[in-house]
Amino acid sequence: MKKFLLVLSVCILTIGQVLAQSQTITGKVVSAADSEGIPGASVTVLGTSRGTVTDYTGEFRIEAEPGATLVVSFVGMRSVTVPAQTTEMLITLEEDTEVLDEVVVTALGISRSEKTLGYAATKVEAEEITKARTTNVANALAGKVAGVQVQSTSTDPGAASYIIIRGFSSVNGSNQPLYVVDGIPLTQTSDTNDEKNTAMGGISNLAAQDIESMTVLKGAAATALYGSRAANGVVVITTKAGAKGAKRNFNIEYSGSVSFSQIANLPTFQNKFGQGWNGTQTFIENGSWGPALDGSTQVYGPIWNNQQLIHKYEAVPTNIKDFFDTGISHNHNIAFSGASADNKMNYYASYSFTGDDGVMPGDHDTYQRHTLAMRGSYNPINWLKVSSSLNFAKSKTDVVGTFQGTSVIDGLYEFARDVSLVDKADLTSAFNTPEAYFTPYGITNPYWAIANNYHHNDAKQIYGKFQVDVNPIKELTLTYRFGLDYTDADRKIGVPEIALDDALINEDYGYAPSNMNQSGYVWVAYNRIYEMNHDFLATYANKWGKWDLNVLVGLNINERGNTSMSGQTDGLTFQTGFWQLSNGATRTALSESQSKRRMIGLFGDITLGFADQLFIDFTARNDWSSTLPAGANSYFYPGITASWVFSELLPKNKVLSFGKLRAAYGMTGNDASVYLTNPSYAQAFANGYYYSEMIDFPINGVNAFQQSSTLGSSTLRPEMTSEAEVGLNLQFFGGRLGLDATYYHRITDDQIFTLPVDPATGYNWMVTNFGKVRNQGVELVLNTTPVKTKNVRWDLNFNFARNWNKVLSLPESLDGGKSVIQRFSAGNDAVYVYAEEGKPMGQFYTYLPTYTEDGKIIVDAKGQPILTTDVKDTGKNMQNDWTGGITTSLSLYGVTLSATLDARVGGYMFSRTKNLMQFTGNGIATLYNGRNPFVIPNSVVDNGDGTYSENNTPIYLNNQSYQNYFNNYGAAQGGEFYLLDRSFAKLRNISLTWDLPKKWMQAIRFEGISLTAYVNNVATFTAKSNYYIDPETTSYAANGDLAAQFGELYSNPTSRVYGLNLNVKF
Amino acid sequence: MKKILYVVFAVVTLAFTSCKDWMDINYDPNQPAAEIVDNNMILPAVEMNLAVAYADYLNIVGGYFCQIYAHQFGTSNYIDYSQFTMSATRSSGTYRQLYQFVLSNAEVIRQKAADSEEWGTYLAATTLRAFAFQLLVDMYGETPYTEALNPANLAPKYDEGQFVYESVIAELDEALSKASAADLVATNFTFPGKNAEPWIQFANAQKLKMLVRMSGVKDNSAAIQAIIDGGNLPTADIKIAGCWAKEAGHESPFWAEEFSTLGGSTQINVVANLAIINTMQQVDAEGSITYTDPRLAKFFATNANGDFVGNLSGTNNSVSDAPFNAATYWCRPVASYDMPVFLNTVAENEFFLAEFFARKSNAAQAKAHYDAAIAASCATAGVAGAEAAVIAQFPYNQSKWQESIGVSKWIALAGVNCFEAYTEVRRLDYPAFGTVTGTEMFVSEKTHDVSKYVAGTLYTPFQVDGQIGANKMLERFPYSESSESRNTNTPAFKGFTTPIFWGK
Repeated sequence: MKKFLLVLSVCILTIGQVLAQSQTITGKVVSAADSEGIPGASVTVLGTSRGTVTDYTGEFRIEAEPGATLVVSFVGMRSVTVPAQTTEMLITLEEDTEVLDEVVVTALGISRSEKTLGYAATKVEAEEITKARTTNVANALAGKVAGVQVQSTSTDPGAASYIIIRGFSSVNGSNQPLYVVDGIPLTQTSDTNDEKNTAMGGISNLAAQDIESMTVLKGAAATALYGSRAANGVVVITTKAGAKGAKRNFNIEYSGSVSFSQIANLPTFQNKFGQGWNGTQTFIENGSWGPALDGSTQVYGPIWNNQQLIHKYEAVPTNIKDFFDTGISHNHNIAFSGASADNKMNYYASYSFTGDDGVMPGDHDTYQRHTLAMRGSYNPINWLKVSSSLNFAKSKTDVVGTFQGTSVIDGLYEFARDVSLVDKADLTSAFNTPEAYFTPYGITNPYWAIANNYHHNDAKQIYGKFQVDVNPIKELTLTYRFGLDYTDADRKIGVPEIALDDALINEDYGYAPSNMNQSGYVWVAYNRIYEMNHDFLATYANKWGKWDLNVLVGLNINERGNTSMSGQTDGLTFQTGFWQLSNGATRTALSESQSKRRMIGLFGDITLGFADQLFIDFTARNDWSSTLPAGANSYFYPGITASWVFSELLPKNKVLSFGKLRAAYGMTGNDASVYLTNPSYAQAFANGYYYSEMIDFPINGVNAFQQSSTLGSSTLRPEMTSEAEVGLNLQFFGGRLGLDATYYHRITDDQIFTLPVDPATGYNWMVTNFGKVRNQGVELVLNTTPVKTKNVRWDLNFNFARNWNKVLSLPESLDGGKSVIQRFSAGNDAVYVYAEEGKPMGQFYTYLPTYTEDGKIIVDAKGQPILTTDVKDTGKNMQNDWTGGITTSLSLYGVTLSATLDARVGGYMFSRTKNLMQFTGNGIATLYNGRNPFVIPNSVVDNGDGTYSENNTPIYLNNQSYQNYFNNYGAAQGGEFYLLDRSFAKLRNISLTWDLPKKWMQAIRFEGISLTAYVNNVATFTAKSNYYIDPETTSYAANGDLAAQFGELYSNPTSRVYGLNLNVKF
Repeated sequence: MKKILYVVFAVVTLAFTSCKDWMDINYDPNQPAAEIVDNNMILPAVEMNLAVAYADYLNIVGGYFCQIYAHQFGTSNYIDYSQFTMSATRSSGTYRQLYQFVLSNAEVIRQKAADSEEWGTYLAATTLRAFAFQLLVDMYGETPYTEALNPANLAPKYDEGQFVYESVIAELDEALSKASAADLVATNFTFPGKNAEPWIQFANAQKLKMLVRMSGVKDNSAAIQAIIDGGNLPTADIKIAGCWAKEAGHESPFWAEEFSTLGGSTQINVVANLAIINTMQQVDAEGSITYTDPRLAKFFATNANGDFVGNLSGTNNSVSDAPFNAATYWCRPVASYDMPVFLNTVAENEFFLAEFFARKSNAAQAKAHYDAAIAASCATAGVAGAEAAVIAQFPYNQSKWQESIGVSKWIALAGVNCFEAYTEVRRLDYPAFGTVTGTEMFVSEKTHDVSKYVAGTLYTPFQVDGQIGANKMLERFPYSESSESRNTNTPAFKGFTTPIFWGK
């Protein structure tokens, strides 16, 4: 400690000697068009984190050394860089959409002029983010950034979203980018129970209105500086800072919206056949394999207390759709911000509320979030700036799970076509509860399911920073920043007990309601997740003649940890509604877990600029990670980028206004997950077949442990990503046409992989380094402004990305160079996706029909296809071929119409919903041949002697073979019948905004009012063969983002949102 | 400037002092370190995983494949088994359970025990290991052995079943040679609080089972005679009992899977097969009961009408003709949360001895052991002393010893372990397929015409897997998906109707 004090005092003394060379620079920023002051323009000192905004008259004050470069920018204006002068400065900004020289705030919180960047960094402005009107700001990026794929797991309230930048690199680990808010990395936290993915922390708790901009850094060169966690890119979020208002020192802004949601994507159901099985009418079946609907009056369901239900045996085409309500959500945000009269202090405070009630009936699918954000900075003297931010978010989510069994969705999809669902809403009737529900086959009345299942998440997140910037000499800025992100998540799931005795059942038609009996349980988990960061940065900026120099040296110390405790109790005393562990009649099992990891990073960056046209940047970083084997936990990675603004050499012309060539090469290392380096034992258990952890220790006073299923590795190496990229930025016709093209080539080598191995090795998984994955691709962005007059403006922007992904190597020992990413196996069906050498990640394998050499399908004695006994390559892959987006906005006299289209084309997904539609006979595909007998076309029987004879055995309904044809043989496609073309084009958003004329505002003392009407998820265009789901949904996010691409198990249908927004600035 | 560099250097140096300790935190706090885990903590886990594999999954599959079980109306969880269909995915979890949980942990115990010369514990782990390898061979025919349990080899080759059998017998001999009755044994559920004495008997019984099982393809007379001469076979059934409780995680495996509401499937699947029911209870042409096996009521519960009725293999259709309560129509196996998991019964050993003498044409000894086996089976079932009626109904016949032993063993094991029953039916080829087929017996979903069914026979299921065909058993499982999809050395499947080596 003594040593430390000594160092500190040396530090302070040193500062004392060199300060006082900075001065207060004052000036005014005006518009070239009318010479009026521009309020709210950003003024930053290049190469530092210092910045301010102009007041309502356009004036500013900033601490800077004369000669330092000031970057002045304002939305819609061309940014300028000027040397700071001691005299009152007048800075003129020209209107501009070229955005030639954006100021990009990088992950370390340092602003850089975009033209100096040798890599792709795409910025999305506040306006674009709020315009998307999504509760989760991650979704606001959808369709807007080339090469960025936003995977929203569903449209249920509170659903989590994932972002993938430039394709999948990591076979086994995370492909998520690093999220950085004002220099603080946030930990993405979500709940993945009940096959649902609910956001509980990270950036999902940011209010869109608090965001100034989001910048996506894509390449390894861009991310090398930000450490291991940036190997998959960085999403940098800058929040709004306080500024003076037009006529006062403060602003008050209110934004509020109300929206309504409606169910948008349901499977296409058949309406010709009713309840039954194998062509026969049965009264208790959970599907529609019965006889043709004829409108006759029929009984159905069990006889209970000498009563039985009666209905017309005719289709109720909208029975499933009728179940859903109109969802309502509202959102309010109020922000108060300002700056002191001398501009030395600024502050921003906001509160926002989001309340979202989804399309499920009642208030069982809801999300509520309160956020409070406070930040400010103070420049007490010209060499010191102190800034801090504190954010608090509280969310609660009620989740409607999508699991197999007594979930709403399983109840909906395993419902007969001839039964009216809305008539089942009255839960006081025994016929609408499991006691006498019409089908007891493991599923139940969706109304009962929604009322009795419970899944509730509560989360509180606190994050913020404390930062000190010191300028000991004019060229040098020393920064210390402490960042904290803490999330506290409480999760609770309650499954009701069903304890039926069938006492009043007079007739169950072969399967008693008591088969639905379940003991019920309460599961509770409390998690605390934290992340702490210390950053020490030193930046040095200087200019000699035509030469610019920026140097950065930094040290980052990071600690992340996680503590959780969960408990479960079974055999409930209260069947439903009392979701406490004390409700358990049997036992309460508690378990706990902790994890902690640390990392130290030392890094440096040198940028050299010449004549404002040539920039070269070198970066290097060394990390030490606690998750790698002690003694071998250090790894180094460098990067270099160059950019050349070649248009500086061209004579001024009206065609090409700006041209930049850029090139970058960089590496990023990545460490492992925690606890993969040492052998370990776990408390013992034994799995049954359907009953996992059937045996749990301790048993009868005996505790036991067994070897972990995963073998750790004491020789793990960090995984390395290297990426080369070249790009071209062109602006034509004064910014009316802009092109940004990028080609990149990325190799991720030495992947840290938890490899599934033959259990005969003694383990089920093994941690190892192997495998090389390549992503190469192009990203194209075309920005156009076809119309631009004084009062009319039309912008039309396109982005396109194509990524070619290939697994370059996997060890041969691994089943011929392939490894399972995700799988579905149930009964005799199995669908796998593999990472396989020589193929893009995510190749689908399944049991396929067998064929003769001349392509005839071989069938068995029953006329059914003979499927392979091991899984075969389908030739289908889960990755999209290309993605693209179109955004447009048309402004006329203050009215703006804008829209976003997001397209993802190619690729396949696993769909259990599709399978379920055949299993139940509810799907349109089960009308094949009108359910009449047929012989599988082009099929033969193997004579056993190398010859084949024509198959004459028909498939028909009454002997089960028609249904088996669908359920066991995938309609002669085997397991491939589970796969669905995942292509879609989504009109994500249309909005119409009216900015009320300024002159009206003056009369009512408002600064601005705008009204917006919008529709989200307007329309989804899917492949012709997709009768089933919105292909964006996923159920497998719990297994990692690559596995999440596998598909869906059961998914709630997505919804469409209609809303109105009011924005008022006082 | 120099000063600043000095300061930066000082700060960095400071930060890295004692940095090594600060970074050395990668030990999972949730799991005990390998050094502090001893054999008392591992052996119970090995036993429980073996108990679940054998008494739950394998018992169920075996029950369907040898027609002790059939499927309940309207549910489909195991309807494929009932139709003699088997896939690589179905057995994958059990394959993993046997290798990763049983064999891998047993190997840890064996090494620790050998290091500290705890030969009682060594024998216990070796016996359970032999049991697990025997099950793997009986499931797949071939299985990784020589290259197994070595994480340095990701593609362990498969060894021939006979080689695996012989190798584990040699291991048992080695362990038996080291252990003595007074040796202590680590904490376990099989013989709680006992020394190595009962484990020596268990190991001998395990050897006897494997030696006799091989006797169709190899003469093991000397080794079997040595076991008999040693006189060290179990005198009581070996079972895991007394530790079960009616709460989640602590119920006896078969009950937990098929009867409990505490986890997994709540559906009713397993019901009695008409083959076993109509063998254990026979009627004359008029429908009057002429014979009821005293064990029947101990193995199967009567239906709601108080009758013993079994369902037909290969069908599970629901019915809609009222009045009819199907849930309680077919008999279900007798089960309880605290039912024992039998690992070895006296009856099994006696049947093996009977077979040994039958093969030597020593009819007197064969009959003596055959009768003793039935007596022991009755005792296990809880009807000790009731064997005379059974022996009268199924008397030993030296000229048809395979049929006598095959059928009686099938019946005896119906209430003990159906996988062992299935294995022995595959090996002895008895019960054999009769002339009547499932399709011929099918009248309606709830009515089967059993008049042509001959007691002690099997029949082709109503719906049978197209690749098995009529009058054939499913002889082997396809290699596990978790091996086949991850191991390049998994051999090509030999076909569903190719017998395991001992069945040739």
